[in-house]
Amino acid sequence: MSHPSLRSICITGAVAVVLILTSNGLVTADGIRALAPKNAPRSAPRGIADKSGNQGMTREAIIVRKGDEPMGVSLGMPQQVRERPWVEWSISSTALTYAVRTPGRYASRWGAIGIRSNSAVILDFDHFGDLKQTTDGRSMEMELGVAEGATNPNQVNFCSAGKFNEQDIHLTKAQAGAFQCDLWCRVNVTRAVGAGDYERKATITVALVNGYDWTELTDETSK
Amino acid sequence: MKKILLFTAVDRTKTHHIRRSPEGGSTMKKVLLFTMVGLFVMAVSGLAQTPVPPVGIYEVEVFDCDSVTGLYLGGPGHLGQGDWLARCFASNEAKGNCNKKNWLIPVTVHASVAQWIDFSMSGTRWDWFVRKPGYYAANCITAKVASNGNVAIDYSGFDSLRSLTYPTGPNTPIGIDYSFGGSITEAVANGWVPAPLLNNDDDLLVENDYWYTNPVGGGTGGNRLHESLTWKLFNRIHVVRCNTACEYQNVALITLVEAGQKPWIEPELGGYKQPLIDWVGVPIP
Repeated sequence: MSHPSLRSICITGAVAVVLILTSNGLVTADGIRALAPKNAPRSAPRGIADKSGNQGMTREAIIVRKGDEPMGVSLGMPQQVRERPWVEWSISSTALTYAVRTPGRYASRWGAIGIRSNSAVILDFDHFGDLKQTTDGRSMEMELGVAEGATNPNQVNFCSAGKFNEQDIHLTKAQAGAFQCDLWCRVNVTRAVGAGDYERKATITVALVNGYDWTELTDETSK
Repeated sequence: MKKILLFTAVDRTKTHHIRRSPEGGSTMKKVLLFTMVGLFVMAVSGLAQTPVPPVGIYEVEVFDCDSVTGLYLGGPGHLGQGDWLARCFASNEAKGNCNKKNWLIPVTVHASVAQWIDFSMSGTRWDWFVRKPGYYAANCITAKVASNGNVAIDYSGFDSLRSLTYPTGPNTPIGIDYSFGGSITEAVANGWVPAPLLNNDDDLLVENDYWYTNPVGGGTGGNRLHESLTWKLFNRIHVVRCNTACEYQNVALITLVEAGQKPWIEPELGGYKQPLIDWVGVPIP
């Protein structure tokens, strides 16, 4: 270390490392480098450290310290931990196929919907309606209902498919922590229904109610 | 799979063309690349339009409900019963998790409705007792047909009445004609069809010919074939002086064909083909 040129190289290298850390990212207590979000608003608190650098659903947490510039997180400083809203959902089936031989009114349990989230969630039903014949547009009446733990159709409050679009389910944060329900379907095959194939495509939207209003939490945000 | 094979075939052709090109490889490489990208885009767009075949198919219980109130009629649900009137299959499980704000989950309900027929004939046998020669007509049989699709009516084996007593003799057969209508006057107006010609005069009841709107008494209309069509069938025999006193008879066959029947119906007995699950997601014209 006594050589002058070697000393100048060491000093230059140290300065460069400091510049890199202060301009692009931070070093957390466990030594993992984390970057500040690219689209974070200037007015929003900065100084963000990602614990794992992984956008995994349950592991991700963002540590926020109020301040205008990115700063390192050090033990003993006031910290605020916010967890991104996440949702884990499942539908045991998204397609239902009836094979009907004779007229009647037939009900079936379509499938189970499961929701687990750390945020309020809305289940939004869109584009439901009567089934339409694929060839000439004739229709068949369809009714839908959602019930928890129903064992037969009489325990389900059915409504016409058109009205079902207005039956969105709003789950509070507490309810969305562990929510389970069954989707039921009932078709009315009258004598007026001609032989043929009838179909309806609809959409169920699982929407996170974003209480934090994070700008980066958009529809395009994906895994 | 066909699109992939097509892509490979065209690729080979273009490669062959490059080797013969006097312009050098650079331009042709660009052409080849452009062609490949184009074909890839075409293939991807084609695949996007192809319906996703159902996966993870399983049968679910079907509950029979009252046609008016919709209330379940009781008893266990029906699952996997080959003789039940409707069966239902669920498929395409979906799940996801992350921070995405909105998950749009497409769902589909599909119903394949088979053709049914409901028919009756007040009789299938006419018995004449004739004392003297002459033309005699009778309103003998009322026939009803209801169906939710086209129905073909095939006549076969109709002929003059031939002697049972002297089947090989020179006896003159008794001519017989058929017609239909609400009364004998209508039957005459519709015209008599001699029995042998009836075999070539098959009928087709076309569902679309029977739709009606604004029915008397209100309602939204309907289809008379779905509800029921009724005919009175007349026949007329011509007994001449040379007909020997004996017994005459003709046995014929009327076949009703459900012309729009689904391929998943077993044609002889009208039940489900087994295994029915193989038909889930199969495009049916």
